[in-house]
Amino acid sequence: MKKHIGWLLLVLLFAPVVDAAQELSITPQTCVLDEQGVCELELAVRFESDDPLAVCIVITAQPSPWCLQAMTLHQLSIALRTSENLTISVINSDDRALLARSELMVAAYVPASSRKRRRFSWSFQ
Amino acid sequence: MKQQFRLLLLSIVLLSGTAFGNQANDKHQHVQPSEWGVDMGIGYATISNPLNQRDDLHSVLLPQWYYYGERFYMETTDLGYTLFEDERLIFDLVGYVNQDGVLFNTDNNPVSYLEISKLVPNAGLPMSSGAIDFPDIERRFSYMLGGQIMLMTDWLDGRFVWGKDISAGHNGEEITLALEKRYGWQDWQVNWELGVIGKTQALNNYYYGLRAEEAARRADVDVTDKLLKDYYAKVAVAYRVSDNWSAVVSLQYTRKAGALTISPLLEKRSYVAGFIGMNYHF
Repeated sequence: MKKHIGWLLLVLLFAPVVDAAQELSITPQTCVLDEQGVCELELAVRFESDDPLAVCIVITAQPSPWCLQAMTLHQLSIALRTSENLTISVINSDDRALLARSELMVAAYVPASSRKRRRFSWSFQ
Repeated sequence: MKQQFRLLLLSIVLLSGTAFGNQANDKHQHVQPSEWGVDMGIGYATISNPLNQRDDLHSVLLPQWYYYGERFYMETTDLGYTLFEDERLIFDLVGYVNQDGVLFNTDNNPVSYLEISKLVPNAGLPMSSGAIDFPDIERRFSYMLGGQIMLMTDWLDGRFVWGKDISAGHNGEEITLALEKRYGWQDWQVNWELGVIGKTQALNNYYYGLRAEEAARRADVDVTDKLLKDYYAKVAVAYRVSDNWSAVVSLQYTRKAGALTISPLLEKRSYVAGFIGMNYHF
């Protein structure tokens, strides 16, 4: 009996810790700022887990999170307007534990060096 | 062909001069490399010809075009190759049309032998009377090749240009010093420019002196033996009517060196070039 308990303990000790697999993906991951320095986009968020989980999606500077019922796959599209990087966090609705995190990066378009007109232009284009 | 030629002459005089956006992100006066554009002014364009018995130039159309590559650029008849350019300083190699040649080519009358009865005083010979067929005196265009330096400051912009004739054969030179400022406010653009152009004796004698055959003399008759200065002032106002249309008034006043008035070819010491009308950007 003691021998079986010992083996059981060894198995438990070295057994790999298997968390429920979770995967968060966002599309797009980068947004280009317009001439006013603002990025407007439809952000697609996809969170998949092995076990059904009730989650809330929290995004930086957004007034309230998006909370979803327990499912293995959560997908939603969020209209956003931002001028800085955003962090997208998925938390467990029950215990508020952080499940996954990703980041939306903003970038500014810098054109090739402009050249001055050598003459006074009569047009406004 | 004659009408198109006159349009080009008007554009050379009326559209000369430079402008600099005082802000780096000023779209109106900046272009991207490989950008080109075409504009057509529709209204009334004129040059009052100071030459004796020469026509003034008038037109209801005033075309202009531009292209900017990585270093090369074209502004209608001006050509340039940029050696250095940043927000404060520009060095260009340039080619441009001298304005004196424009004044002599407002019409296309052929050259003919002239009987000149009036001689330049420093020749020491008596003046004779008689009619002078001034319109038949021919002078070529001078295409000037040289360099320019532009300096942009927070208050004013400055430009220095040196050019040497490569087309007319006199090899005369011009040195231009100009100050200018541009204002942009909502739908308005205003630009003014003040400048002085020093022209060498070779250039002034070519245009305003007389050839031996014109003067019925054994030698050419010169009007000067030193560098002379022309002065000019220019103002242009543009108002945006729509994305493609703008209303424009442009006026340039040029006063030639006083010493040139001894030339029989020059009737008036100053002349005006102007345009009023609408501009369409293609």
